[in-house]
Amino acid sequence: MVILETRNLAKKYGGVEVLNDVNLKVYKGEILGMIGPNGAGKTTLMNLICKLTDITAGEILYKGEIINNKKTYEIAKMGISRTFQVVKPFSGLTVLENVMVGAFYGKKQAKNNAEARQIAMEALQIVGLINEKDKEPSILPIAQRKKLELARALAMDPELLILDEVMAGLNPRELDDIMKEIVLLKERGITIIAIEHVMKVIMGISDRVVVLHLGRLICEGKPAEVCNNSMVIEAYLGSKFAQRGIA
Amino acid sequence: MKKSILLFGIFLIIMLCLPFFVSGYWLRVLTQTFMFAAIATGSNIIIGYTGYPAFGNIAFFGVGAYVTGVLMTKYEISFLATLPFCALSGFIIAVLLGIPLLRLKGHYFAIATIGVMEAIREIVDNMTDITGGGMGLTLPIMEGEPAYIYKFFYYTIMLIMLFSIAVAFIIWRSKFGYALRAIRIDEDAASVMGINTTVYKTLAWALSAALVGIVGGAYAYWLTYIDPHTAFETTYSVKMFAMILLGGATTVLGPMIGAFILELISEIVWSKFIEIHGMILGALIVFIVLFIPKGLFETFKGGFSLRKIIINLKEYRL
Repeated sequence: MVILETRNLAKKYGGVEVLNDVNLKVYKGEILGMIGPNGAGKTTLMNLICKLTDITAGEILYKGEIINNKKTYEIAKMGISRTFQVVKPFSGLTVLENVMVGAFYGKKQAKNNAEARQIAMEALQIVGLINEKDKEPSILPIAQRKKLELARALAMDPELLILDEVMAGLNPRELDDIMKEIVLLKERGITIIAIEHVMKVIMGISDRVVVLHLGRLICEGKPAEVCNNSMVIEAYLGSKFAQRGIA
Repeated sequence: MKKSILLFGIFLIIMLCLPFFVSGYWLRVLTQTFMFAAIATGSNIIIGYTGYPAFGNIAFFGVGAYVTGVLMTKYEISFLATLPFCALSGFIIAVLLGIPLLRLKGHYFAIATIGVMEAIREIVDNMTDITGGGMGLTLPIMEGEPAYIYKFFYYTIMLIMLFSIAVAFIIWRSKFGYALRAIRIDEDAASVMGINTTVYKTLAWALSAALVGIVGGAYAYWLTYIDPHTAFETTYSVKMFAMILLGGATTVLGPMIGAFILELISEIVWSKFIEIHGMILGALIVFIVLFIPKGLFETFKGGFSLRKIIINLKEYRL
């Protein structure tokens, strides 16, 4: 079943074409890896889905419903959550309170503090931040701040979770740790779109991979297929390597 | 938390007993302090919690003052009955203005609110038939002994201050308050988490306007005479902001503490250095912004120390 679909989606900033004719399908329950060189338009695509920027042309459908005209907060309540590449913790709130905001206003809509607290504690338990719950997010190391983003998104009870480079800047041990968590989320029935630069991660967790290059989807398939696709190699390494077939 | 509630309780008891021990002069000073504490606490809902520097929030103070003034003189409504109307008019004006203005951020919003204040002052100034225009408005004088009147306003405005603090406290710990505090840090992140930022910002400003409006109403009856320049006093805006900064914008009790410190210092400075009191007050405000930008409450949460001031200096690269 298709949970999210974009039809001929385009985004222009003035004369600059950032996304062009993007037709993407995300199936329920999968982990979709999205890769592409810097400036390919990955984050822009996610911003369009969350309506943080306006769509120039095309349509976005969530569970068969066109969501072009929905507001950012309405989309969040429909069950789409995301993390940010540059983490955005709410400083001044403790780790627990940060996650409570997700529980209050996401799809779950906690009615009171006790309920929000309980949902938030569960989310913190899942990502392994329970011991940090009373700390200020600004004093946490980057790996834990990324986990906080994840916990906050989880507390919203999402059906579709967009992870925007949640693994950038982590060391190998931290990577393994968070990869396991992501697979765990999938097992809980959450559909995941993971934007990532770290190939090891994409290959390790994705059911399917799409490649975005200069605002267009140039390739789609199983991780191994995508890795050996000549267009993908060309996008990343240049045409010389593509001809040699080196991946 | 428990400690500050206890301290607040002790403070409250002292304030309740004080009118029986101090002179009329100090009663007046304290009443004025309560008034500023109420303004700062109410305004802090939009300024500190939500992060929108509504510099011209005194506009609603003026509106409240005139609502009470006009209702009491033209319609002969009793003082206490006018207060809900003060709150309501502040609320409605803030909602109407908030929808377009809260799209602005930072100093743009601050300047826009100053514009609002000037505009409302001009409107009041020109509605001579209703407001008396530049000649001002004289309210009915309260009957009774001066000592009784002093105490009446002392307790009334203290009650208004406590009401503002109670509202601010309830908001701080509520679902609504968490949304505001999220908006203050990052509006995009807040909306991605499902917060309807436009509605919450507008509601925050409207509530803060309502609280400030009530204070204005009490002020008008207290002074018994208002004109556009005393009701929409720009220096009150500056004072209110300094109080919020001094006490701590991201706290519930900070603005009140700031109001007490600043008002009492300003009263002492005023009586001792009549010629240069403005300069000393100005220097104090500069000192606050430079050395304790987070406010007293936040900076010295765990106790006073010089080290914290130095850490602050380093953190803000001075």
